[in-house]
Amino acid sequence: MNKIKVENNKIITDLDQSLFYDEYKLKIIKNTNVMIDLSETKKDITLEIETKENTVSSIIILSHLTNNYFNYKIKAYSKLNIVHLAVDNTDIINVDLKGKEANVNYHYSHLNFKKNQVTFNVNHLEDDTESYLVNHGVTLTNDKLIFEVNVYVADNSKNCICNQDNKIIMLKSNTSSILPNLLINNQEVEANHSAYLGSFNKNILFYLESRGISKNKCYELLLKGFLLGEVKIDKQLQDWFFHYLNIKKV
Amino acid sequence: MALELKKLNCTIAEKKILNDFSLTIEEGQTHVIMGPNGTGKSTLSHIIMGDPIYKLDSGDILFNNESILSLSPDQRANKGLFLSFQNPLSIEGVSNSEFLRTALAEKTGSKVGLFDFVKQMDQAMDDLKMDEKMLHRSINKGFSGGEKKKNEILQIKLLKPSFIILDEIDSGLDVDSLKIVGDNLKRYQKENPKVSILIITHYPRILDYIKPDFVHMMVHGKIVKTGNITLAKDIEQNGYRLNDVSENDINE
Ligand SMILES: Nc1ncnc2c1ncn2[C@@H]1O[C@H](COP(=O)(O)OP(=O)(O)O)[C@@H](O)[C@H]1O
Ligand SMILES: [Mg+2]
Repeated sequence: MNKIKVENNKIITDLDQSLFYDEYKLKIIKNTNVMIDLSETKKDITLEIETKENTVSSIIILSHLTNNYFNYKIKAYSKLNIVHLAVDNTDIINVDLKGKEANVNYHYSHLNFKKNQVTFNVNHLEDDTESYLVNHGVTLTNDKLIFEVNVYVADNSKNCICNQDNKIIMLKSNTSSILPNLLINNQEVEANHSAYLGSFNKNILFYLESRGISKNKCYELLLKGFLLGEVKIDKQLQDWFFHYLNIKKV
Repeated sequence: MALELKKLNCTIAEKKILNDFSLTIEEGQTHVIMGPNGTGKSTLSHIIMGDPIYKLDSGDILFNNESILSLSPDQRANKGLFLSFQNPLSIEGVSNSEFLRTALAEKTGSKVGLFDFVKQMDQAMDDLKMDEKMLHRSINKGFSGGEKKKNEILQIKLLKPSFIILDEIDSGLDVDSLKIVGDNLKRYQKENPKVSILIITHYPRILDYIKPDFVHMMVHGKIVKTGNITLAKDIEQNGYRLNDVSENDINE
């Protein structure tokens, strides 16, 4: 897998011919997989990621305790599958679907300890563009997490699909919120959104516990399921992400 | 002595759901509770299992002579109690295999690898005519009513409880699935003669497979009549004939 890693101020890249990197700009030329590891830098990063036409690529992003700005530009007939694991980040994520049939599948999982806001802007700028957003956050302290999700469909963009699933599980009480804004200027659109803010369902917890699973283990199962669901990533990455659940367990 | 329910009283939203409910189920016995909808059967099963949303006003539950009232649901499960839910819950994102492996690991103290686990489950799933793919799907998500009930039986085969409560195990099952579920339960009982079973049901269909020692009729939160299989057949034919149950039986 291709790799970009930021360690403090140093950027280490290990990339093949399928992508090109220069000065915080990444250009995807052919179908590819890349991991962007920002978990070990304290520096706030602004990163632009652009695809060429006719590509299908997967990106995994790890980030920790930084304020980052990601700007994606997806060209015609291209698809980006992004899995973004964030620990205590304040992120701005901007996705421009710039060409016909541009498609983004963004799975954003967030563990929140201090106050953070994550803003998504998804802009459907052409016909037949599709966006699928899963934003799942867990707050582990009394500090709040805000998800602001702005989806824009331009008036001349026909037959777009925009799906969003925004959920925050609060393990401690706080004033987290989800702010979805749909700005749809074209009638021929398929839009679905769901939002949930709260704790795990008591009946579900009881069902798991009734099978002899301790409360802590139940939470672990449910949290992992909630944060990753069907997403398949290496055990090593899962371990990195989930070890934060244990560290701050009070 | 297996399970002793002693004068259980439970009130929900100012409505009395269990009214001095008492019943003793000995090791190896099979009891049936039949009763109209809303009479408190599922509530009773949840209370036995320790569902924290229900609080008893009074009464005690003894399992093998020890009160289990202060135990959490997982502690009760690890003592050998198992509740097959009337409506098993679907849990998105948690795979059936992860769930079952975790439950097994909590019971045995060691986690089995996925590969060995799947191999171990092969026979059990075959017995239940379940597709192996179901192991890798989210718990009960998109399962039909029958598949959910089979999944409950699969958990029994895996966790090997000594006291089983079957809450409406036959609802949502077609004739073929009922036979599969019934045969599997019958075999489990044969292989574990000490197992006690409490069957909660509307219809005596499942009793073609598991022969009850006692049949109880429950109305308004208490047992109003006890008999054998004949009572079950009678209820099936004639309904609960609530008029026969005097106010005295209900409110002492
Ligand atoms: N969690 C609950 N909240 C409010 N009412 C409940 C709850 N659980 C059960 N009840 C009420 O208790 C009564 C008994 O329900 P239940 O035990 O499900 O009956 P059964 O299983 O015999 O059909 C019903 O009137 C039901 O509405
Ligand atoms: Mg019921």
